[in-house]
This record gives sequence, C-alpha cells and structure tokens, in this order.
Amino acid sequence: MSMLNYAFKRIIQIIPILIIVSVLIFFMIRLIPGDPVTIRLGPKATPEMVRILTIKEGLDKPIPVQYIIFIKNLLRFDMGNSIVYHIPILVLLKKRIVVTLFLTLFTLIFSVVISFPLGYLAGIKENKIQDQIIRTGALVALSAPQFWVGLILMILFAVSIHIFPVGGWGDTWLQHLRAIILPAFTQSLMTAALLARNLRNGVVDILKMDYVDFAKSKGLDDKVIKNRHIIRNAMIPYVTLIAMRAAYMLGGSIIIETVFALPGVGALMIESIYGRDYTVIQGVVLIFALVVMTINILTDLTYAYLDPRVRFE
Amino acid sequence: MKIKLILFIVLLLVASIFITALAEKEISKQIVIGRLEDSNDLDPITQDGNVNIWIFNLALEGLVKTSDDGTAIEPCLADSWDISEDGLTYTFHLKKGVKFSDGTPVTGEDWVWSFLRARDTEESIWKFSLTALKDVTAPDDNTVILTLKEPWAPFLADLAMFNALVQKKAYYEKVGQEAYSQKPIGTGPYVIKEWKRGEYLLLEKNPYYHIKGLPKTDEIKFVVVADSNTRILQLQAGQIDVATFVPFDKMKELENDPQTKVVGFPSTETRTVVFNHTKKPFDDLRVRLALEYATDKQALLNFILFGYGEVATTYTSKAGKYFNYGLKDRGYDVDKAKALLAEAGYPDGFETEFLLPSGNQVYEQLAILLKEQWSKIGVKVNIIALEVGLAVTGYRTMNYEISVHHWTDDIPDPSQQADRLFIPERTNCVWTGWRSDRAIELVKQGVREINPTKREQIYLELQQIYYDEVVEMSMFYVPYPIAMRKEIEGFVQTPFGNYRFENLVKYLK
Repeated sequence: MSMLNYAFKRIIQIIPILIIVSVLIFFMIRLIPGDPVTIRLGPKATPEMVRILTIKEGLDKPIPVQYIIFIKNLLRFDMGNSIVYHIPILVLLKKRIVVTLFLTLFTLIFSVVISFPLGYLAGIKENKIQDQIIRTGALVALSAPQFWVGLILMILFAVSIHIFPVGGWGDTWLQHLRAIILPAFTQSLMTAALLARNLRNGVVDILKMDYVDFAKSKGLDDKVIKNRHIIRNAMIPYVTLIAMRAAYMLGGSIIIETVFALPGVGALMIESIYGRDYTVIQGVVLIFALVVMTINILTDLTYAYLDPRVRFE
Repeated sequence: MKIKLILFIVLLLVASIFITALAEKEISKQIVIGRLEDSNDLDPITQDGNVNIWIFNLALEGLVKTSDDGTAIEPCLADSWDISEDGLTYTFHLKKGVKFSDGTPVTGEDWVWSFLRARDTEESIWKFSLTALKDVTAPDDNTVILTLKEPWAPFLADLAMFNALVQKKAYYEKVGQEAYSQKPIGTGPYVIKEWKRGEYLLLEKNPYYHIKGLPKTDEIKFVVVADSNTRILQLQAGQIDVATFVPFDKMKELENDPQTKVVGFPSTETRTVVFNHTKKPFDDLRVRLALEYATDKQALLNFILFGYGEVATTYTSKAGKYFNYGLKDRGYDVDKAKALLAEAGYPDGFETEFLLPSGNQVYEQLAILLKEQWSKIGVKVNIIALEVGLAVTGYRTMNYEISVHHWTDDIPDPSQQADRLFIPERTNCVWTGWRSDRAIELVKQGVREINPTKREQIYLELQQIYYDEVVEMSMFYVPYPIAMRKEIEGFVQTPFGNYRFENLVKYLK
C-alpha cells in the first residue's frame, strides 16, 4: 500500500471515532451532578431565576434532543456559544490554542535538547559515573512537583534577577517568547527525564545487538555505527514517546498555566468543568480528539521514514 | 563678596530643590491590577457575579451611588431629587450636560429604556429590586420621574444597585445582546477598551467623563493571575501594581515588604456555618446552641484570617444599615455546650457530615478546626470536601447536614439580604429549611415602612430572631484583602466591593 493510500485510510477511520467521542463526552458531562445555571447564578439566585435561564440556554430539553441539536449545529461547523461567556467557542479557543501550541512546541524543543545528549551519553556509558548522575537527575526531575519548580525558577529568574517576567503572556511576539521560556523549561523537565531514560535504555539494548558487533567487526567507522545503527534504531521508541507527550501537553497543563498565569487551554478546560460549561467542554474535547488522532497518524508516518522495515498495511 | 556669592548659590540650590519637590509628582499612565479570575459577561442586568459587577460599575453609573464607606446614598447623575409625601413619586433632577463615553448626550429615552429593560427582561437577575416600579417617564432630558405601585422603603438604595445604571439605547439596538454584553456603554469614569479572555481586561479613561480632571489615571488593566503565589510574586517584582484576593497568611509578609502595603477594606461579606434544619439533630435549637458554645470563634479567626476581620454576631455586617449592636458573641463554653447536648438527648454527642467545596483554603481550615473543637463535646465530624459544582448542588438540594455559606450585600439596605434569608420561597432560607412566620411578616413590613425609626426596629428584631434561633452559626466578617505597591494612592473599594478609581494614581519615582 502506498503511503498516500495508507494516510487516506487512517483519515477515514477518524470519523467513527469522533462520533463515539462526541456521544461519550456529551452524555458523560451531563451525568455529573451540578448544572451550569445554578453554579453561574450564585447564592442569591431564586428557583425562578434558575428556571428562566435554564430554558433560555435550552438545558430544559431532554438530553437526546440536546444532542441532536448539537450535532446539527456541528455539521454546519457551529460549535455553539459558551454557556458562561456567551461568545462562540471558537473565538474563546483561538487565542488559547496559540498559547498552548507555543508552550508545547517550546517544551518539546527543551525536552529534546536536554534529553538527547544526556540519554545517549548515559546509554553508551552504562553504569559508569556519567550514567549514574544522569539517572539520578532524571529521577529528581520526575519527582519534583511542577508548581514548586515553577515557583522556584520564577523567584530566581524573574523576581531576583529580572531576566524573565513573573508569569503572564505579554502583548507582542517578543514578549510571548520571553514569557514562554520558564514555563516551557519547567514543563520540559519531566518529559526530558522520561525521554532521556527511554533513550538510554534503548542505546544500552542496541549496543548488545549482534549487528552492532558485526558492524564493528566489519571495521566500520564509529561515527557511522553511531548514526546509522545506534541512534536510528533507538529513535523509534523515542519518537513514539515524544508524540505521546505532545498529545498529552496539547490538552493544556493546568498546573503550568496556573502558576505562570498563561491563558492556555488547560485553564479554560478546568474552569469549564468547574462551571459545567457543557458546550466548551464538548468543543474542546472534540477538537483535541481530532488533534491527537492527527498526531498519531503523523507519528506512524514518521516510523516509516526512520525504519524502512515498516510497511503501510 | 565671595562669601555672599557662595551663600547666594547655596540659597538658589536649596530653593530649586524645594520648587522641584513642590511641583506635581509625575504619575503613571497605566495601573495593573491582578485578580483571581476573569469576568464572563458585562451586561449589568443579567449578571450578579462580583467578577462582572466590579468591572461594569467602573463604566456605568446611575442616578445615585453609595458613599465610599457604604453608609449613605449620594447624588451621582442626579443632582437632587424630591419624593412625594405618599412615597410613590420620585422626581430626579439630572446633572446637565452628561455624555456617554462615545460623546453622545444621555437622553431621557436612555433612562426610560434602561429602567424598563432591567424590570421587564425575563432573565433580568435582580428585577426583584424594581418590582415596585410602576412607570418611568422623562418629561425632558434633565428630569426622570419614577412612580411606584406601593411605597418601597429601600427604593433609593435599590437605585444605587448595578441593574439601575443608565446605558445607551441606540448602541444596544445597533450591536445586539451578544456584543453588548462584552462592552456596554455608559457614563462611568472608564470605558472597556479591550478584553482578552482569560488574560486581561483593559479599561481606558472616559474622555467625556462628567467630572473635570477625573479619572486621574489613563488606563486600568485587570490581569488574570489565578495562582495566589504568582500574583504576590508579580506584585513584589513590580509586574502588577495591585493584587486583589491576597491570601490572609500572606498579608503580614507583604506588610513588612518595603515595596508593598496592604489594606483590609471593610466589606459586607459574612461567612456562616449552615445547619440543615430538616435533618435531626439540627432541628433542635439546643443542639445548634451547643455547637455554637463549643466553637471558639476568636481562635478560628486568628488562625484562619490571621486576625483580619471580626467575629460575626449576626447575618448582616457592620458595614450595613441597622446593625444590631445589642447582639453579643455567646462566647466559648464547653461545659454549657455539653449540658445543652445532654438536655437535647445527646449526652455522648453524635456523628455528622460537614460538606464543603474543595480547594477553598478558608473553608477547609474551618472544617478541620471545627472538627477538632467539636470533638470536645463528643460531636464527631466527617469532612466531605467535594468539587465546587458537586458541593453547591449538594447544598442547594439540601443533601447535607452542615455546610458553609457566605453573603455580600449589593445595596446599603438590609432588605435584600432579609428577603433571601427569611422568605422560604426564595432560597429556602439559604437552604437551611428553617422558617419563621414572624420573620416573614417583618421582612414584608420592612420594605413598606417609610419611617426610619420604625424600620430600624424591624431589622433589629429580625437579627434578634436569627440570633435566638441560631438559624446559622455566624462566623466572621471578612474584609477585602488588597496588597499594592507603595507608590499607589487612592485605591478605594466600597463595602459592596465596588471600586472607586477616580483618584487612583501611581506615582513615578
């Protein structure tokens, strides 16, 4: 099967999955006790006010009817208005997605830049002092709470020495860039630790493979062995892990966004769940289901590039 | 000669220093205020959340307003008013030449429309305050006449509320509800310039503001910084100028910081512990009294609010009108509490559940400390901390035994709170299930009684009933904890939470 056919087949598969996701999310969020109107109106609301607003938001209709309305609108590319904010979900999401994408991108860059050399070094120096230090460091990075690391970094680099802003997103691209470095670095520590450990284990395993010994006995240059045999083979699980982490991070990180006052998707999502803003939750979940599936397809395509043995079937 | 010359130069130098110091200090163009969460909708008639009220109140104004300390009603867009003898006709003489922030004059039509929209729109949230309003007319652009169906004692106070503000009719009709709720137009000192959801809300000086020379600062930027630690770090680093909702445990630290100062603005916020009177044993007054005697409120206040605020003795705050100063805190008396419990048939205490929203530090600490204090009389408390939506639902469907409640007033009059608290049809007496026919009668009298002395007696008696019956356990009066840079002057927050920023400035060093 050609790569194009394969990609097409995978894209078609997205549709039934999206339908299942939409049904699950639509009914599940409505099963949680609490409704958006009561929560929004606060402690001074009378039952009469709650009733009027419930009708106005269309929340008095049976849930299957609400689902049909939702799907009908969706087919017209209308995800509806936020129940809390009264503006279209796409307007609400647009800006926040940019923040989260930016944060994810920089987190990945930091993660790779940190984890690749360290993971490789630890692998080829198995059980030596370098390996021990890197593994301990990874353990610390994995177990340190993000909010704590974030605050410490902020106190050091933003309050004591004013290199970076104390959270916030800024107005210009230059300000965004300055604003994203500390949160991205904080968020990357955990991913970098995971990636480094993964790469190290991969390298350790590959070094024991017969084909590496064979390559050495052929008298191949160390550099060639390294590039063609070790790194390339160790990259497959590494890339899988990156993709998984990227998909996870695109959902937004509530801790990082809260500590660094970033207006990203994570903060919106949590706020919407607390406020039972059904339409926003539905919209965000659907969009991210789509994004995650797209990343998965792209990852599968990357395998083929990295490993010619992979066939599209 | 030389000495004279030197003296002259020295004098000149000293004088120049004095002159520079006397010259007006330079002020910043923009002031940044950090807050916990973003607003969601700025339509003054459909919203009653503080995140919204506190913003649109900077952009819109009404006939009257509350004084900064919240105790009196002052003229705002009305210079003066006459009230007919029967209390049914209010004639307001408007300040001349007032313009909306877009430069167009405020017309009588705008006034009529604003009032009728607030009274007649179905989802108008506080139409209760305008139920007595029969008609609004504007014989000319400088007079507004409001007629009532029946005498309504708190009417002037109701007119100071956020749903009675003048807005521009033509603009609403042009842009429609959705756009309007993002940017209403009024006559207030500030105009909503830009709103980036979840990030910031930027207010700009109203160039047509009716008081010359005010407001002093060009722009106010409200930024959302949900994490309290970050908000405080931003203040210390000078990234924001004012931090609102400062956790009480951080107030001392910021007070000692040479760069910052703190203020606890008096508020009408009262926090209470509520009992479900429809469930045993809370239907028994002796049990409620026992729990109150077993609570060391001052110790709780010191621990939870770090000494800020005050122990509450009734449902309403001292910042409100007709406060009953005769009511005293019952005090902490474990023996008396034990005796009352024994009398009620619970000599060994009982087991109960305490429902609260998780993530609220004040409530969580309160529940833990009450559990500890009440254990001394044999009452075993199981704390159930649920996600906010679940906790609210549990509380309002009366699926709880003990929970927490808070109230802040919107008007300088006790009628609003009394209505919600004592009329069962409104909120089931703040979801306690309690009921008193005498209280209902008094609430109804309270809104109709024009004589201030008689009126005061009504509200004093209501507070007495609440106190005697231990409807809820009043806990604390909580101030608004604000921290700001030392260079900030003129930050005012009324007991109702509204900001008064006309004189707010930040001096540049």
